[in-house]
Amino acid sequence: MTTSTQLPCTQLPCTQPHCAVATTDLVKVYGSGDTAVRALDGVTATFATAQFTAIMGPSGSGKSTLMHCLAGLEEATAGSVRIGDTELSGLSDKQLTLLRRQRVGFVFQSFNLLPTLTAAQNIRLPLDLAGTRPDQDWWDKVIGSLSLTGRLSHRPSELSGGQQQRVACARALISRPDVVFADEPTGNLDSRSGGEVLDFLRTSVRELGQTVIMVTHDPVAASYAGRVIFLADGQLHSELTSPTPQSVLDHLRQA
Amino acid sequence: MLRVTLLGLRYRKGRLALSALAIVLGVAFVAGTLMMTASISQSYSGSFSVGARNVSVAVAEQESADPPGQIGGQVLPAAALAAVRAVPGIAAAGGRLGGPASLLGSNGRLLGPGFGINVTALNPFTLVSGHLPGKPDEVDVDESTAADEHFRLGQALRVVDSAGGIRTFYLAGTIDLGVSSEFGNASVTAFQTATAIAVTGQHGYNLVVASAVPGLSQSALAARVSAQLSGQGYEVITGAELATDEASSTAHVSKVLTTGLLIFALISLVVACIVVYNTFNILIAQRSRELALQRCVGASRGQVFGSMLAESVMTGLIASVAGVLTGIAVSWGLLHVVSTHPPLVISAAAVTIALATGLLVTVAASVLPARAATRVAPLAALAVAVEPAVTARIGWRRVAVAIASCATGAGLAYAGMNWGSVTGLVGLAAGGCMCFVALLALGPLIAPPVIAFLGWLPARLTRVTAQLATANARRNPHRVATTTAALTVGITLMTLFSVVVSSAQKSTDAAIDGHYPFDYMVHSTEHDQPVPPRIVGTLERSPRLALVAAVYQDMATVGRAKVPLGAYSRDALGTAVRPAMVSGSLTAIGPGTAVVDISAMPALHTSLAGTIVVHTPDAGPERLRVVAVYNSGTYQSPLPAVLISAADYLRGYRPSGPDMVVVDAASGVSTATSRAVVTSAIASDPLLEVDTAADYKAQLDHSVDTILEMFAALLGLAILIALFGISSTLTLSVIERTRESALLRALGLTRGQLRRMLLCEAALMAALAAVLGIGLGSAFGLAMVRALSTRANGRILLSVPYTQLALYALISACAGLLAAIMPARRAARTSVVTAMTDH
Repeated sequence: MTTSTQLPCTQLPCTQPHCAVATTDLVKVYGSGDTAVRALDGVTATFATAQFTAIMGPSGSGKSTLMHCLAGLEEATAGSVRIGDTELSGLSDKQLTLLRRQRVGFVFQSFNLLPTLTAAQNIRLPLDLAGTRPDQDWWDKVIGSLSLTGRLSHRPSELSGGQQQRVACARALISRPDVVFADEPTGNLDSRSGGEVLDFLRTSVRELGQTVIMVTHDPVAASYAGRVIFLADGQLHSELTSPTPQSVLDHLRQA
Repeated sequence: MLRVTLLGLRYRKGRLALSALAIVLGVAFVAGTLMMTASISQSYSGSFSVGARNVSVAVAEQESADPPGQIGGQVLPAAALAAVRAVPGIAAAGGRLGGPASLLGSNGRLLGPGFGINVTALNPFTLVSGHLPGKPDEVDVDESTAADEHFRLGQALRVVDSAGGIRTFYLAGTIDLGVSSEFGNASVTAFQTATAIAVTGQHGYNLVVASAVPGLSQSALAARVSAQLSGQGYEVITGAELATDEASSTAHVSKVLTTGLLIFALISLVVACIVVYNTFNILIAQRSRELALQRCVGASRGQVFGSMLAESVMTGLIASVAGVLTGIAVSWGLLHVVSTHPPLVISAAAVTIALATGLLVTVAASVLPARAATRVAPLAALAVAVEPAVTARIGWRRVAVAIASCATGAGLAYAGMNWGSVTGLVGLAAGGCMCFVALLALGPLIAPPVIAFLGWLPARLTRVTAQLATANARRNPHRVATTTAALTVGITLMTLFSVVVSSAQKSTDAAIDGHYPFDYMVHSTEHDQPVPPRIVGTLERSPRLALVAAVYQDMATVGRAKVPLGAYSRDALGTAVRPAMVSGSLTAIGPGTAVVDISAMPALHTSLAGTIVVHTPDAGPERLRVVAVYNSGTYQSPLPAVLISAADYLRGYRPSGPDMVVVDAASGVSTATSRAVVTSAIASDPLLEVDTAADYKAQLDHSVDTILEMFAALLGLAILIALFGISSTLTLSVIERTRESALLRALGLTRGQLRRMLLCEAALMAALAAVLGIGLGSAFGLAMVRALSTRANGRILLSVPYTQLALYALISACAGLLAAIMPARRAARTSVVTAMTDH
């Protein structure tokens, strides 16, 4: 960092659609024999850097499984997953854990925060786990854009649902990960709080150059993304760029 | 509803297992204690029926204060046996005698203490193999000694006689004496009567026994014998009385033992009760949604309460039965190890008491949690499961009551501490218990700051895992306080004992250094055996020794009290023996005067310049004037309660030699030289032993250390139970925090870090218990030492065994880690995705 006003992204070669995450022929089978379930059945997809992608699909379509496999939370049965230049298949549990710690951010639907830690401690947790210190400029920027400045010493039980989810967003971004995965981040929020969270995710992509992959079943939430991919029966069904709530709804109806 | 309860119980059996195990151990302790002592008492009385078998009448010296026929007691002349034989109606009669006779083992060394007895017409033993000694050079040996030493019949055995000479005998047979309180684990040799007299040096019989002709009752024969012997100062009892007399003297011992063990069993049960209470509490907190759902579908409060109670009754019953079975198994095993293999007595009373205690403890522990369960609002079932913020809030009334009782307890303890009487000690104990319980009640307030303090250093070292662990350990103050309370009980008692024992040892050491500065002490390894005068002469003739002083001691009846009485050679007084004087001087002692210990004065009903009446066997009652008072201070003083002049002692007891000889080297003689002089002087007598002052201190310390070790072993069980409690709490916490752990894993906490986090949490809880326990235990220990010191006229020095206490803290933390291993493995095994999606 040379000056505090410059964003790190401007120093990176972001001009061409660099691949943040990619999968090839991804297969995930649960169980074996007669009871085997093919949750993912040959998914090939790429997710560009500095792009906000939504994954949609009906219940049981495999969208959560896809996200878990992409994030290194679950091992694929076959096929490949890459985050940046790293191939996930074949990594040990420890390597996957370190990868998540350093290069992946998470926002879950609920139970995102540790009840014993303050907001600031929760946000700093991934850095503490890695034993590094936050970059003060980046910290101020993230906290400021999420309007959390006055809430940092509060514990989760003292925060509203929207505030808790904004703390989770800050935590996901604080380590400047290669990619942020959001699993139904607005599922438990009212529409205003949900809008704030989605706004922030979009801003983090547009202005801070982050990459976000979000699983959702809400067309309004999906419309914040720059691209929507649709899953059905464990396979990539179709995709939509520059979606609006209406175009997403129409697409779902056709499918 | 019962069906739901039973299904729930089966579902939760894993979660209940650890606390059930705590009950199992507590109940096993109670059952084991009751059955072991019953078995030992029964085999004791069984063995007395061996001693009194076929005996219709027994005759003993009436003046004897010992139980009739006790070895070493007053003896009967041979004429008494002849007189008994002359009574019509006697079928057989014999005079039993016994005395010290040490057997040399196969390796040529002494086999510990040994007794020699004679063979008569009525023997207190049964023949196991071979035959009774038929010649003067034949001997029978007790079965267990013969087996331990692999003696073979016909083998030559060496026996040390009472004069220190070594005699050789041939093994004729082996005998079984039953479980004997008199001989304990000593070796027993049986000889022909004449040989036994020569070996033991006894000049008469301890007991004359006789059997009646068929058809004559014991009491009728006893009446005839009494008539025959009347006016000669003999005590005549029937065989039945002999059996009960001796049985009751051991019954007393076993009763003291049972009471002691039961106190420790009770401590274990209290700890188990805390563990069970905590487990039920956590289980109910975790099941609040399930219970609310039951309420929603129509279960009444009473039904929910009943269901919880039923669950605890089932748990208590299963655990108690398992505990009783464990107790039986352990007792059987322990009795099997005892050389005499007494049979195990399983009494219905022991089983019932143990079962009832276990059941009661479990149900009592679950009543409060069950009551809390009925307060769950039905709508809680519909609320989203967000962990409620748990605070350290405890009601102001509880705080007020706790502080008040703590203050009262402290006041009572302080008063008791300075009372200096037994009532004072009771007051101290009661006050201490009050303080302890009050502090446990305040635990939720005390625990979080202490844990924050303890977690500071580990957090500096490992940062995030320790920080998380500290936060976790503090999150539920009630739970952590209850969990650690169980361990705190054990550690407090351990610390208390250690401080008291350490202080006692320090005081003894200091007293010996300051007031008994002798270089060597020569004494017999056999109890009550004198040092032969020829050895004393050899020592006295050596120019390298400056002081060779005879020490005599025995029990004596002074007034109506039975106290230790002794005498020292004049040259030892004020030199090798210089106790703290309360008034007067030790050198004032001479014929017709006595010096007494201040702590014995109340029992003797005397004062300075007062008189005491001393009864000795050979000089009759004598009035002695008290010319000085000393303070022997420690509880294990080399000085007796009453010290008289050597001249008076020799006249009153006519000892064959001094009980001990105190030796000081001449100035300028090296330790190696003086030691060699003393060792060579006693070399001719294998029974003699020389101790330096350091050896003597070590012996005294050792006897106290043994007590501490026994306490440690007994408290070990309570501590083990407390560790089950930590393990159980942690397991339940891990289940409760499954999603939280998964979140941490998703955010990049490795499996190893997760394990370390839980281990650290357990270690912090154990350390909390250690800090509180050591703190409280030291405080109580100091108060206790102070109280004992008041009783002992201010001569007990305080000593805190820091190394030992640090060791307890370390062991406690390590044990905490051990308790966390299983829960930590379980937490680390859980799959992240399953946990995150499992709502």
